[in-house]
Amino acid sequence: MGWFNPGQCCYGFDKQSAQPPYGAAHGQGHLSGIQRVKEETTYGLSPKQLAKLLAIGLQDGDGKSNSGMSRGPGEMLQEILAAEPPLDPSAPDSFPAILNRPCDELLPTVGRTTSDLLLDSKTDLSVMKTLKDYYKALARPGGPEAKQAAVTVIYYAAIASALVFHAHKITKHPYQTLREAYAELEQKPWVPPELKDLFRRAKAACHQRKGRT
Amino acid sequence: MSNRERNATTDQPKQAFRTTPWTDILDVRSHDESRRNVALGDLLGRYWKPVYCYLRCKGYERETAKDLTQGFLHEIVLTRGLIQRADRAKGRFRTFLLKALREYVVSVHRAETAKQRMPEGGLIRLEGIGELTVPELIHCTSPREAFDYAWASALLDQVLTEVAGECRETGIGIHWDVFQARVVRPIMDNAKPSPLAGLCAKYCISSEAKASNMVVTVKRRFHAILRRHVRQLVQSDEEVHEEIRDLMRIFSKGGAGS
Repeated sequence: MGWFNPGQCCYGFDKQSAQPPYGAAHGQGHLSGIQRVKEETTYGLSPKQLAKLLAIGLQDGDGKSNSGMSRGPGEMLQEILAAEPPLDPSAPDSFPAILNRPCDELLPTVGRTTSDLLLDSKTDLSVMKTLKDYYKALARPGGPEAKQAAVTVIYYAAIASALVFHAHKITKHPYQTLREAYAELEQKPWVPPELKDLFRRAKAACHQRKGRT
Repeated sequence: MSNRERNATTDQPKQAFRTTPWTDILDVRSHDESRRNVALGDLLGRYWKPVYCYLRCKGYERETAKDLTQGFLHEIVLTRGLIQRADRAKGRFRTFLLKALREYVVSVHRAETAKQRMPEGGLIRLEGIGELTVPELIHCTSPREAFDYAWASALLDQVLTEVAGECRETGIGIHWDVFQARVVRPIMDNAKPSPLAGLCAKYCISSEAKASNMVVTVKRRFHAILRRHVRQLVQSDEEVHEEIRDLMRIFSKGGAGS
């Protein structure tokens, strides 16, 4: 990001500054008051980075998504994938709160989205296990159907990642059961392509290990 | 009314006139010069980048895109037909603006035609427009995606600035610093967030749990301010979430630079 100049940060201004520079561009009656691009701005970030910043606005601060209306499993899944695993222990839906332990193994992953973690071969196996445990806990019966479907996909994705990237099964489900699950998930129209690819690879890995438990 | 708005009303009465983009469009026709100037400043400040990015990705050279941007914004100000066609009941302001821009591009013949509609030197002086480069990763997308990108970027810039300002004004500037170190900077720099322990030491925060709560507090403000800004651009509360998700979906698809 060659345009970023720490010395001209528009919203990281120092304590003496009382007026953010952007305030001068709006509502002051200036016909020419257009913000100069040399000051800090999100302009120039990748689309994915913009999506991550927007994702902050989808959660109400406690890590809960604020929907206001019922949403399909695909939309909920996209939200989960685009967001970071919630680690704030004060939030009721956070990893520490749901799993009732600090989840320190996730600390090195702060700043990375759930999608990043699931699709990266370098993600530690302990992180995959934690993701699996958390989403298994969230998929408890009685919750909204769309949410259940979405978190179930993440649950199976965590298992798939461990299989594909670490050649390790982190669940008691037999390979045959997993293979069938991945075959079914691949057919869901609302599952994004990158997860379908992961499921395809996991299905192949299960097929190679058939006969084992 | 927030402190910012209260102070703004006292120190700068013009700020109290600002409401929504739809109001701005009507206000530019106002006989009240200060109201007109405020509305103009708002419209130009908010929307010249998405318009310019759209035109550049459409294939127009820099100078032509600059002229067309000025010409289009001039049309919003003075062309009664465009203002009258702004039907608030029919969709989001982003969609309306893009549709109007497409229609404008179709109707304008050459950059010389746009110049002829304006006084010499242009009616609207847009500082920085000639210097704005369209990032390569956006240049490779469609004009529509370039428009949406610049739109979302401008929206986020406004929100972040307002959140920072509000934190300062309400005495929780340190909350903002912690939030920036833990949430904003890691996203913008693709870096790891500053460790909570280090932030606690730096800002004399008594515990990591307290620092986490500070992040949550600012997140809530970000959430509220983003929703308020988006609410100005859509027709109902229900559409706010939809609009944010639409933008996220667009940017999560991948493509160059993602």
